[in-house]
Amino acid sequence: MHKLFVVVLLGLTCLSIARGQTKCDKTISGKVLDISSNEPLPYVSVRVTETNTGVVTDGEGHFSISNLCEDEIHLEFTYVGYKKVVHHHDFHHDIPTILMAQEQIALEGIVVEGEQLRGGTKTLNPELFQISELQKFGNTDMSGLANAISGLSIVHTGQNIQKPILHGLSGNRILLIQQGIRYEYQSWGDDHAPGIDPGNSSSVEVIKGAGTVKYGPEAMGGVIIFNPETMSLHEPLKVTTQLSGHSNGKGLGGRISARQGFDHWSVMVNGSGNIHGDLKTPDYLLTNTGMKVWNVGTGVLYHKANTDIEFHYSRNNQNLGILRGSVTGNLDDLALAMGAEEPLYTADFNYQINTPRQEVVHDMASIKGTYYLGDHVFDLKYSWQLNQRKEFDIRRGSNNELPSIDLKLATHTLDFNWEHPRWNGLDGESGVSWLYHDNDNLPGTNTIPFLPNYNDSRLGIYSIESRNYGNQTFELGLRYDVQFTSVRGRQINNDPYYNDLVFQNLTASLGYKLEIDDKLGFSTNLGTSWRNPDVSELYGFGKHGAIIQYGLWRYEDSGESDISTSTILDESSKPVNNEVGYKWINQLKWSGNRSDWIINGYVHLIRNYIFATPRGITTTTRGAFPYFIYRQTDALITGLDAELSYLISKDMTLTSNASFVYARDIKYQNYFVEIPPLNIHSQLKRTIHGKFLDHHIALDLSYAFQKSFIPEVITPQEILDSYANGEPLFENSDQIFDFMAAPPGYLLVDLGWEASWKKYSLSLKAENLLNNTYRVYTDRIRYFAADTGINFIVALKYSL
Amino acid sequence: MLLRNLFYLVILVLIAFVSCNDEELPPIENEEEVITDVDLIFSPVDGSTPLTFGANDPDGEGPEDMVTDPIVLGAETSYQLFIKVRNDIDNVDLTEEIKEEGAEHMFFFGFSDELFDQPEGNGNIDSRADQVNYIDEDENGLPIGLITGWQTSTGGSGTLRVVLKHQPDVKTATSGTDVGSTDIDLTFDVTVE
Repeated sequence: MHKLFVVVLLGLTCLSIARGQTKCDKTISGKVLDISSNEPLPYVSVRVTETNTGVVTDGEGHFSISNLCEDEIHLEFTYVGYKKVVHHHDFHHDIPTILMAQEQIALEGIVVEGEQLRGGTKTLNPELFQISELQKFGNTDMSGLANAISGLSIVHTGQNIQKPILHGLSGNRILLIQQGIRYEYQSWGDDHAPGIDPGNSSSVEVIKGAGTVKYGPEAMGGVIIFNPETMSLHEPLKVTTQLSGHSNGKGLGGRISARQGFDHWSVMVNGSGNIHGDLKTPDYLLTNTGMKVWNVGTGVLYHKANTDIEFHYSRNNQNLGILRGSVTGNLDDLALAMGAEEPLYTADFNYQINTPRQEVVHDMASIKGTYYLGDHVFDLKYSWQLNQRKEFDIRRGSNNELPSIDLKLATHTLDFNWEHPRWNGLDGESGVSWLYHDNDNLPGTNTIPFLPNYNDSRLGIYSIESRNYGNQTFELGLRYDVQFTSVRGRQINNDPYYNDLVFQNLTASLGYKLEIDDKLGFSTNLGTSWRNPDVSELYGFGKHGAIIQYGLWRYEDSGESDISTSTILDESSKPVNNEVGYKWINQLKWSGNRSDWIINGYVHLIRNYIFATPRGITTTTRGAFPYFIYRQTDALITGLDAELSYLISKDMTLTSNASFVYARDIKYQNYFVEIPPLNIHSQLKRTIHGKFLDHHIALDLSYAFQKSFIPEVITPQEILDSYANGEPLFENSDQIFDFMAAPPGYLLVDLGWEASWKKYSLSLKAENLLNNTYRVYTDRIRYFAADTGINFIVALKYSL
Repeated sequence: MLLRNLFYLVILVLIAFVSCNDEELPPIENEEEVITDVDLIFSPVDGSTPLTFGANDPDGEGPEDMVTDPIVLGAETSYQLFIKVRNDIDNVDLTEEIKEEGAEHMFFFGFSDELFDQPEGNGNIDSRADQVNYIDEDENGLPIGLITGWQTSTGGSGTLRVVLKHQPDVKTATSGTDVGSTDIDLTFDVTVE
C-alpha cells in the first residue's frame, strides 16, 4: 500500500516540466457530417480565421490543415444549404467531429470533440447515446434510455419511480455520474429513484464493465454517465424551448435551455418541469399516480490559455405519487389487494398527490479545474450534494401528514486526476479521490428511524496504464480504497447504539483490445470491484414499504424456527465481508459502411452478495407479516447483449437491440427476483423529403418475454394457509420466493412523427399504440395493477 | 520515512473527520405507528369488577410472536367491552387517537356462535351487515367499536377475533373488513362458564 503512494507521489514530483514552445508543427484534422443523417459531407469549406488558410473536405468528410503555429484557432465551416458553424479549437482537445445542419431545419450545427467521450478506459469503451433522439418526442424518462441501450433496464415502482438496472444490477451496485460527479442518493431502496432527468443531459454513456478502478466502489455492474450540455466558446446565443402534452395522466411538460459562448467564457442555463395526474391502464385508472417534477441547472465555463474552469449547479425536485392500492397492511390485506380485479381504492381522475408519496430534493454543485502543462493534463474537482428524502406512508390520523422516513444526505467529494504524456510507450492516468457522507434522520417522524445516522469518509488512490503494440492495446489498472464509517442509532426502545467501522479493498483491472481491421474490433476486460455492506444492510430495522426487514447486525439466527433481534451485533460477533465482484466482459464491434453492430458477453461473479430473503412470519397486533433478513451469498450473473444498426437506404435506418441476463445464487442454489427478462427492441426510422418540410417517422417495437429462471412462487394465501395448518413454509431458511408468478410476455408498439419548419418542430407520438394490457416483471406495482395504456404525446419545439 | 508519516497523517485526519465532526444521534421519536398492546376490558353492566385481558407483542416489529391472554367470562352476564390500544415500548396511549379519528376507523368482531346470546350469530367480520352491538359512534353517526355491548350464553368455549380497520375516506355504512388496511387483527381463546 505504501509503495503505491510512493509511486504516485514520485510521479507527481519528478515531472519534467517542459513548457511547449511555439512551433509551427501543429495539425488540425476532423470530420464533417450531416446532423440529421450522419452522412459525411464532402466539399465543405474549412477556414482558419487567424491565418485565413483553408481546405475542403474529401469524399469521406475528412479535412486536415497542417503547419499551424497558434495554440488556439477558430475554424469556420461553410457549405451551401447549411448553417455556418464556427468552432474554437485548442490543441489540448481531441479531434473534432462537426455536425452541420441544413438551413431549413430547426437544429443548429454542433461540434463534438473527442473529449466528451472521456468516460471509461482504453479497453472499457462506453456506448454513447444522444439525448436529442429522446427529446424529439418530448418524453425523456429513463425508460426511453432503456429502450435504446441494450443491457440497460429499469426497476420500477409504478411509472413515476424508475431506477436503472445494468446487467442485472441496480442501486448501490452500479454508479451514476452526473455533471462528472458520483451521484450520491439513498441508493439502497428499490423504490428510491435517482433525481436525474436524462432530458437535461446532452448524451449518456454506458460503461458495461466493472468501473471500480477509475470510478471507485459501487461501480460493480457498470457506470452510467449523464453528460451535461456542452459549453463552447465563441458560440452565438442559442435558446431552445419545448412544450409537450400527454394524454395519459393529462400531463404537461416544458423545457427551456439557453447558452452562449464568449471569448473566454461560456454560460448555460436550463430548466424543465413535468406534471401529470392519475395514469390509466387500458381498463382502469391508477389512483394516486400523479407526479410533479422540476429541474433547474446552470453552468459556466472559463477558458484561458492552459486552464479550463467549469462550474455547474443543478436542483431536482420530485413529488411522486405511488399507487394507492399498492399499500397493504398484513398478509390478509396483501392477499386481498393482489386478488383484486382492479386496484383497491380506485377513484376518479385527480391531479392531487396523496399518501403514499415521496418528496425528494437533490442539489448538486461542482467546480472543476483542468490545467494543461505540456502534454500533462491535471484535473481537480470538488462537489457538494444534498439529497433530502421524505417518504409519506398511509398512517393514522395527523401522522398521515408526517413523513415516516425523513433523511438528509450531504456529500462532499474531492478528486484529483493526472493524465501523463506517453512515457516509454505508456499512456495513463493516476489520481486520488476523497468522499465524505453525512446521513442524518430529521426529527418529527413519530416512528423509530429505519436507519441509524452515519458518516463515511473514503479515500481512494488509483493508477491506470496502457500500452499499444501496433493494433493491440494492453491495459492494467490498480486502486486502493479505505473507508471509515461511524454509526449512531437508536433501538426500538430509543436506547442508543454506536459503532465505528473500517472497510478497505484493493481492486485491479486487466484489459486487452485488438483492432482486427478498420471495421472489426475486439476488446476484453477483467475487472474486480467492491462495495462495503451498506448501513441499511447492516442496521436497517423494521417496516420499510410493505415488508419488515432486519439488517445483518440486527438479528441472530440459531437455525431454529425463530430468530432473535434483542441484541445489536458488530464485526466481532458477526463478521460481514465486503461484496467483491469479478466481471469479465468481451466486446466485438463492427463499424461498416451500411451496418454497425456490437455484441457484449459477460460473466460476473460476486462474492458475499448481500440480499434480503424471507425468513419467517411474525404475528403482531396487526396480524401476520412475513419478515425478511439480509444475508450474504455468492452470485453468478452472466448475459449477452447486442445492438445492430443497418442503413437500409439513404433515408431509412433499422436499429435493433436485445439483452439476456441469467443470475443465480450459487451458494444456496436459488434464482433471484427482479432480474430483467429477455427483451428485444427494434426501431425503423424513415425520413421523407417533402416539398416544404422534411418528415421523420419512427416505428418502435419492443417485446419482453416472460421471465424464466425465477424463484418459487408462494402466494400470501398459501403462506396464511400453511401458518393456519401449523406447517410453516419457511422451515428451510435458504429459500427465496416471489409472491406472484412472472407476468406473460408482451408487445409494445410506439409510432412517432416529427416535422420541422424553419425554427419550429412539431412531433406526435403514440405510445403503446395497441393499448395492450401488460405488467412489467421488474415493476413492484405488478402485484397490484397493470401498466399504463395508450398515451399520445404532442410536442412543439422552438429554437432561437 | 517521510511518506510513511504522511500516510499515517492522512489516515488520522480522515478518522478525525469522521469521528469528531458529527456525533449527533438520531432524534428520539415516540413510536406512534406500532401498536404493542391491546387490552379488552369486559365491564359487567351490574357494576361488579371489570375483567381485563391483554394481547401483547413484546418487540413490536421484531420477530417475537404475540401473546394473548385466555378470556374467561361469567355465564349469562351483560358486559360492556372497552378496548384500549397502546405502544408499551414508548408508553404511548393510542386509544384517544383512534377515537378522535373515529371517522376513518372501525372495529369488527368475529366469534363462536355458542359464546354469546347477544349479539346473535358469528359477528361482522365475514359480513358487515351481521349483528354487533356498537355503543359509540363517529362524527358521521357510524360505529367505531371502542365500546360494544355483549351478553354471554349459558356456557361454552371458542374464539373471539378483533379487527381494527383503518378506512380513510372509504368508511361507509356498508364498508366491511375487505376495505382499508389492518391496524389490529387479534384472536383470543374464550371460555364462558
